[in-house]
Parts: sequence; structure tokens; C-alpha cells
Amino acid sequence: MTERFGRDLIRGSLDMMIMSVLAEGSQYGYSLQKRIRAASGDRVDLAAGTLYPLLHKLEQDKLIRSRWDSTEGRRRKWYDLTTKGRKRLTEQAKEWTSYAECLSRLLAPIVGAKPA
Amino acid sequence: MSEREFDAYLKLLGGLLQLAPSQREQIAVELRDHMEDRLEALLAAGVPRDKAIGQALEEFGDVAALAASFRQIAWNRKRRWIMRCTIASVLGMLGIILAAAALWPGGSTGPGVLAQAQAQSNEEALTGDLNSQDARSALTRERLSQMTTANFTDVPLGAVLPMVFNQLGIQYYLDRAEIEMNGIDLEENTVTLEMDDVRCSMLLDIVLSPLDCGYYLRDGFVCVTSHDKAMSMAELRVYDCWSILDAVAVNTSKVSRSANRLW
Repeated sequence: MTERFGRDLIRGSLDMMIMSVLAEGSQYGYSLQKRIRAASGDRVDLAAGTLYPLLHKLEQDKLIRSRWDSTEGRRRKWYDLTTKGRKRLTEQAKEWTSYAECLSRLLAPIVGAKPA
Repeated sequence: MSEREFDAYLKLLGGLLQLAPSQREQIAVELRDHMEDRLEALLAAGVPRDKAIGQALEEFGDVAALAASFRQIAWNRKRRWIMRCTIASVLGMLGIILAAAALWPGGSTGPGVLAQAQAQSNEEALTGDLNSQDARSALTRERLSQMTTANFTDVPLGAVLPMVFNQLGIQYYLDRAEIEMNGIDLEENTVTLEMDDVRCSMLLDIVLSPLDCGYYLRDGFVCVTSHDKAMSMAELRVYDCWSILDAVAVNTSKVSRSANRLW
């Protein structure tokens, strides 16, 4: 089984993960959590106690918006990415890709080095 | 499906949230939905019910910590409003001071200049000089300070604004891109209100503020945009300060008369 990413490592990118899943379409909290877990190959397990305050904060910042729906028999809160959120996500994605490339170059000799 | 453990957790959370009942209820419904989904998944995976309930709750963590996270978000919202009100008040005061300074260059001409400026605010005096941006700005300010009547029932915001502005003959620009970028849908958000004798500027505040929108004045045009952008352009916003200037003029003339008596 693949080891999960450390909390400190993923802390700064949780917003981006949520927004990137919402960029694919509407999600409710539980489906969003499952999607992130699946997309990361079970290496990111976003706890429910972390997920919901984050969703509410993103909504407050108008990066995502919510709506209630009862068509499935019970009231469910769905989230969507706003135009502002999509713009922010694009900016963050570019920055993170650039950061990851930079880090990869720095770490390449260490990862590739044989143990002494 | 009803699990007493879920109810107990959510009841405890609700008690710790210190939010409005409607907000507490919405959070409880949302979290309950997640708990039930998670329970179903764990039961389907063969986890015994008692253990599955415990695990579903455990994933939400300590109830006090979760309540604190939600409270922090609510507090941030309040703090943002307080900041906006404070900034608006400071800018308003600054606007009053600047207006007073501009209209009152000093000496004995003060009250006379004020009176003259007030006379110039008369619409008839201004309509003859509409080619000037200053005159157009003054005319727009004058019209924004006029009293109007508003009667809307579930009318989309996108339709309310043209009605208000056209009724008063105010030229405006709707910054749709900025508003929509902030997640505000001009057609989905509707306005319902019935008001007689409301100042036009106040009507705009009442309609726009709840949707985090605002407006500012530029070259005689009213620009409706997001609240943040309106605040960033706030040095150009309209503040109806004629009544205060009147009071200043009255007090000043009293001081002048007192000074004359002393001499």
C-alpha cells in the first residue's frame, strides 16, 4: 500500500485540490472527498473535519458557491466553482507547477543518489 | 436513517457554534448527509455498525475544534463587514472634509462660497453646461440625492438597475465581468422591496450591499461593480453631505456674527 502524504506537505494545497475537483463539475462534500482520495491513489485523505470548514471558507471568499438540492430524497448541499475561483485556480496551478519543477530539479540528485 | 450518535454530535456542535439558528441548521444538515453516506459505505465494506458509526464520527474529529473552525469563518465575515464600514466611514469623513476645504478657501468668503456652491447644485443651473464632466458629476450627485419610490417583487437585479437609473435619468455602467467574477448572478439574484420616499443613493445601497456589490461615480457616470472594486475606487464615491455643509454654514455665520460683535 502506498504511503499517504504528510499533513504538512498537503496543507497549502488543499484549496487547490478542492477547486480542481469542482472544475470538473458540481460535487457535494462526501463525493468531493472521495474524488480527491481516488485521484491521489489514496495518498490524500482529506478528513471531513477539515473539508467542511475549508468549503465554507472558499464559499465565503466567493471562490465556490453552493446550492441545496432535494431531488435525491434528502437535502444535499452542492458546490460549484465560480468564475473567480476558476481564475484563482488557473493562477495557483501555474505557480504550483513551476514550484514542483523547481523542487524536482533541486531534489533530483538526492532522489537519484544511491544510499551510502 | 437515524443514528443517535450522529444526533448527539451535531447537537453538541450546534451548541458550540454560536451562530444564527438557520446557519446551525444548515451545517447540521450538511454534516449529517456526509455521516450517513460514510456510514453506508463502511457498512457496505463489511464494517460492523457500531464501529462504522464511531469511525464516521471520528473522521470529523473533536467537536470543539470543528466548532471553533466554523466560528472562525463566521468571525472573519463579521470582521470584513466591520472593516468595510470603518473604511467607508473614514472615506466619508475625508470626503466631507475635502468638500468643505474645496468650497471654503478661507476668510470671510466662506459662507458665501458655500451658498454659491449650493446654488450651483440646482439642476436647472447645471443642465446648461452638460458638456463639462464636473457639471455632469454634480448633476448625477444631485439626482442620486433625490427621493424616489421603489416597488419590486422578485425582480432580477439585472432588471432593477436599469429601472432605477432610467427613472432618475442617471447614466450608468454595469461592470458585469467584475460582478460575475465574484460569483454574483445578475439574473438569479432577485430584489423584493417596497419603499416610498427613499433617497436614490440609499436605495442603491440597500439593493447592492447584500449581494456584495457597490457603486462609484466617475465622470458623471454611476459604475455598478463588486463591493471590493467599488471600495478601491471609493475616493470617487458619492456622499451626500449638503446637509452637513448647511450646518457648517449656519454655525460659521453664527461665529462670524459673534466675532463681529466682539470687534
